[in-house]
Amino acid sequence: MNSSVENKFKVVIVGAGPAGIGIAIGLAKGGIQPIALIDRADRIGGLPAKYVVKKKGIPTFMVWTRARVLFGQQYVEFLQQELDRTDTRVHLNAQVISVNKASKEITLVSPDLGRQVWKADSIVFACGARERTITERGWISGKRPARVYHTMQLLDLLDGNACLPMKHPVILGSDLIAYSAAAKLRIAGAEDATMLDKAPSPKSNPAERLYFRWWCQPTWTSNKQPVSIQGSDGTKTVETKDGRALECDGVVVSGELLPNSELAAAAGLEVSMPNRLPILKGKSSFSEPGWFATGNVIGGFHGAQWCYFHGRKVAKSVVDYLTR
Amino acid sequence: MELKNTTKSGQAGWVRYCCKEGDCNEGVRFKNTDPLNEEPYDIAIIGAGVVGCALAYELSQYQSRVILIEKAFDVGEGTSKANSAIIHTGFDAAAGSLESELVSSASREWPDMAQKLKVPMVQTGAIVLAFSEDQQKQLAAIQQKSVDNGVTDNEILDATTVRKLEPNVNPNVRGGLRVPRESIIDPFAVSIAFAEVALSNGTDILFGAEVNSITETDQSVKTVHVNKDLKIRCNIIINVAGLWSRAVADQYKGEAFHINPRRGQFLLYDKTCRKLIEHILLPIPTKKTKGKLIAPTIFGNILTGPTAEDLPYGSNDANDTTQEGLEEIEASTHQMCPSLADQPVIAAYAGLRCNCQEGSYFIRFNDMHPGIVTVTGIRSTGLTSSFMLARYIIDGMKEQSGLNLIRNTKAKNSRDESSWPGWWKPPYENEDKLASCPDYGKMICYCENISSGELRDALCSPLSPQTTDALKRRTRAHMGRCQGFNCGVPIIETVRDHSEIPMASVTKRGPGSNWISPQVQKEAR
Repeated sequence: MNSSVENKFKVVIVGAGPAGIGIAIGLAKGGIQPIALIDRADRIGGLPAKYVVKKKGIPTFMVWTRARVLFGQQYVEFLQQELDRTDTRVHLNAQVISVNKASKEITLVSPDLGRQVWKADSIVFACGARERTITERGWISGKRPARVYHTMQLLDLLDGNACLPMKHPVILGSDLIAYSAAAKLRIAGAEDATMLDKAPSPKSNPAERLYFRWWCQPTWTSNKQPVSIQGSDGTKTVETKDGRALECDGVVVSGELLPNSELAAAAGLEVSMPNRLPILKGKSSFSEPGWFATGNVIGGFHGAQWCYFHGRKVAKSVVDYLTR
Repeated sequence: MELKNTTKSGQAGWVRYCCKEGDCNEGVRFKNTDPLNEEPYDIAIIGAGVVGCALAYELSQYQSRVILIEKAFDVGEGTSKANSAIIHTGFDAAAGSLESELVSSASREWPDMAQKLKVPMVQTGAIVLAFSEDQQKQLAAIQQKSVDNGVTDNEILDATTVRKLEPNVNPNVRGGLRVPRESIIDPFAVSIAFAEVALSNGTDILFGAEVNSITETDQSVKTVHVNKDLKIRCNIIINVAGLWSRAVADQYKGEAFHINPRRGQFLLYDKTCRKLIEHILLPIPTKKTKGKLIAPTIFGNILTGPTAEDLPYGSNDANDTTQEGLEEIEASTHQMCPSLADQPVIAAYAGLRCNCQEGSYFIRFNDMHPGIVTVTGIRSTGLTSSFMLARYIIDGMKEQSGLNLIRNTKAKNSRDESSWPGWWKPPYENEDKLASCPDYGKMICYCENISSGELRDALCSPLSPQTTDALKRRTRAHMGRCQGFNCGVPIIETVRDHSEIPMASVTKRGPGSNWISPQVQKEAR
């Protein structure tokens, strides 16, 4: 528990989702060690790990190499097997408190390790993404009642607690994540959602919509104007500028991923604002040598397997950097 | 008026929440067996906003039996939770007014008070910015007003100095007036700290208690009826119910006054841009409005706002943000600091100021009845003036109601060192603390680095918070850039486990705001 203890690694990877695991495996195959893979959660797998296997559940993770759609948890289990074949040191429940660009040191805190400073020759951010907040979307205002959820919270309730939070949902957003939220709510016992987005047609593509049609058929509402969430205690309606009031007992604000680039920004690495995109050369390395990013932290919305292969690919750049 | 001074000297008061069984921790749920009707209270304070809590704090320094009655499920749930979080010097108040006097004297004592209460506060100073020749001319008048208000430590700055102090303000700036003692503070902790100290000195606190009527108003012992069947007997009633003060005053037919909520919307920027500004940046006030400011927050964000929208009487829950309001804030603050336009906003909120048509700081002692005090119209400066206003009210009661109060020499006036919030003094920076309790190393809120240990400490704190919002205001969990994307449900689970109630009973801010919709039927899954 001594915070002055300095662990030294060739590479520290921040984030043990598909991209972080991909890069760990890629580095191991490239003969790099020791490698540390850390995550703030209590399990590896990042967001996909939250999509647990359920009897009447809906698999939503397309695994192209197997031409199958799996549950996130199943895909993470494949990754875990691959990872177990490497010597990667995995530390869970570890939160990075600060990053020092000049010395390539990170300070982390965890219940097992206490507070420690780790040093590495190269540091890789595989921190994933989160959903844009309500206000950050720029077209949703109103009150702040209970039961306005992000998709992650919905997952934590539905899959983590077997607990359905709303019967009549309105979903704000219309991408693949929004459709999967609608479907998950439907099979948990909610009615078909009303889906609303500031777009002429749903952002999810027709093939994706066709896939989810088996489970849910949300009522699509195109809306060009801002909306407001209403309800003094619990969520009651979503109101549109033209006077429509969509009645509901909960709202899911879904999709629109934002990269978790804050650690990189805090370290003084280049991140553009306000979209929080890391400024990268060749989609993976910062202008400062030895600093890399992989997976959804580079921006955009990519599937789990894309992130894994991106990690594998970026691993080659990291190996090049370390062995040049 | 002689009080029985039945002080429970050295004994802490109790906290109870009025709700159905299973809606909060059974240990703090109000039950009919709880002692409420034995002896009348000396004083009942109606409303646990920052002024009500400060009153409880100041009264708890005397030998008196006080009860604080609040209809919400936490202190500071109304106007006190949504404001600009600034401790004002009163430099721009109406000189000679009671507001000016109270704010000015309170601002001098605040650094000491914040230390006592363990409330984070930082003196950043403020700069009033002038962007035109006309505005520049007004600076001298504002400076004079500031001096008239007793704030003499200000200085007029030329454009070069302003640009040097604040490189990110609009380069067209013509000059400014610097007021060095303007400060930023944790606005939530103020009400909580006042109430916690009062509680430890013997004040009883009843949450979820809505006043229905007040009877025996002309008797020495009056009765406040709450939640239809509870009776609270007391000698003195102080109505500090803020937006609801009119409704409470109607119960004793108090002197006429009119409340129009004045809405103020705010935008909160991500911590990534905190370094853009150093001072609180204020525009030149116009006749109509003080304008929209840009202020650093004690938490490390930047906030901008507020709007000033007068709403009709009774719009007490109209704390909506609106697209127009937020755009209005952006338009004027981006003009002051153009770099803000490229920065991410993480949240927006709105508060309702208690705006009284008959003037601010509307105070009536013996309001139509001996022993009933009305205090309302406390608008933007209530956070600053709170404890000075409380002392003013106590002095007034002594003079005008002949109230005889004896100091309680055993009373505490501060919180323990351990009360500093974790976000201010992170437990993970304390090696021994972290080693002795690994929970301080398990982060629940990733954005603000708030651990499960801190959540537990807050839940075990004297006011024993029962809602997720109450926990959030004490710890900052859920207040970061992801706005609960990651920690939302873990926080609900933490409250559920600590209060030993079902998931469906956990609320955001008390009964009715359940996180699980009541429309969801229990179903076999």
